[in-house]
Amino acid sequence: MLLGLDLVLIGFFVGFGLLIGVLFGFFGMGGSFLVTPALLVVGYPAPVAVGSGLAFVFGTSVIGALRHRDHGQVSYTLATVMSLGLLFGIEIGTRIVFLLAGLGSADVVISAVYVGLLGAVGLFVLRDARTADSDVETGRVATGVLAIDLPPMMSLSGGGTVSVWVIFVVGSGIGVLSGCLGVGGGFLLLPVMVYGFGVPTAVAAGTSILQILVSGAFGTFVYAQSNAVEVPVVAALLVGSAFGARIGVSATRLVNEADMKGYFAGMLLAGGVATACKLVSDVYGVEPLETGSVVLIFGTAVLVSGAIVRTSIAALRTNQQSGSPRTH
Amino acid sequence: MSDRDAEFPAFARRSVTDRIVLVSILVGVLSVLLVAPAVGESGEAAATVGYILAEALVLYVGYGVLMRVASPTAREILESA
Repeated sequence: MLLGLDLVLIGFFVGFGLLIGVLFGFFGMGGSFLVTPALLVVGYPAPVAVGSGLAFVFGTSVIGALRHRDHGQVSYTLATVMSLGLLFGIEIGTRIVFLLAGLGSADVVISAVYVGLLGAVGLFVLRDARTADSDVETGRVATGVLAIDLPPMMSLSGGGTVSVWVIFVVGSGIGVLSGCLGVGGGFLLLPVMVYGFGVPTAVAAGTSILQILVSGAFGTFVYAQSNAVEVPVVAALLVGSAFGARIGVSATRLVNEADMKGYFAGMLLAGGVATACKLVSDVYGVEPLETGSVVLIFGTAVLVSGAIVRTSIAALRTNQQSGSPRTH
Repeated sequence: MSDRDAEFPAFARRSVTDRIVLVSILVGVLSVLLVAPAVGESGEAAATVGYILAEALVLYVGYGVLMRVASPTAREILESA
């Protein structure tokens, strides 16, 4: 036993963290929204799964922010207003989770929302992997958002002017999702800032990591007040993921991300199916479905991160044989 | 004079600043950890945040050093295997 957790379980979470880290380092997302479903599938109550998910997000965002600090492209005014919205939303999201827990339906509702979220994001990534771009549609969204004239207005890095209220409301919406599901929200913050507010991608990336850091710290604090953060689990996950992220980032120089996007989409969809299996198993008491859900969520994570590492090693050997570095 | 020499003063300055920032954060975190148990529920929650922050900083620095030391050897093994 270490920190009140069985050594086998610690090894298991370090290993899972390593896989999550490889995926997060390689794709730049997907770290957080696999942790909470995995903890739900393993059998942690919903508030603990969500609280620990947020604590994991906080830890990874600290490491991510340290790694990105050299770029220095952060819009602090946008980050401040958006963070205020995020904190407000997280507070509401947390209250919703504990209200649902009091009613005895938190596990069912949160699992169901996860099935929808993982399915939607998985299908989006799959579509993104198959189609070239959607610039016309996203350009129209940005024009629509910038046209809302509700003072006070804020000038942004991309040259656009957006209502502070729009930023606050959007931040609150993402915060509610973050507080309810234990996700950092980077997969929403980034497209919202780039396509919705017209902020350049580099600035959006730096700003979103700062916002996730602030909201992750606040979410961890709020859930920890109710003893809903499993610190040993988060600590073990971070040990694995911090190392895995370095492998994942190195792999981006050797493997083309587009070649792996289909696998990633498949893994997200499998995560959704696994959560649905666990839900059905809990409601109807079908034991094999529970085992199947564990195998599915962890098995696909092993397969996809294994594929990234295997392809990277193959590329490294090809480089060695040809004598010239091949990078992407 | 090489590019590396030209960049060195800026790099050295940045690394000193980084070290000061990291040490300050660590001191802050440790202070929170020490004071937290005396402040009740919120204090313990702050300690949890501090613990995760401290772990993340230690992992960042630790793995950074480990990668710098082990990367060339690992690369050699992978390429020759």
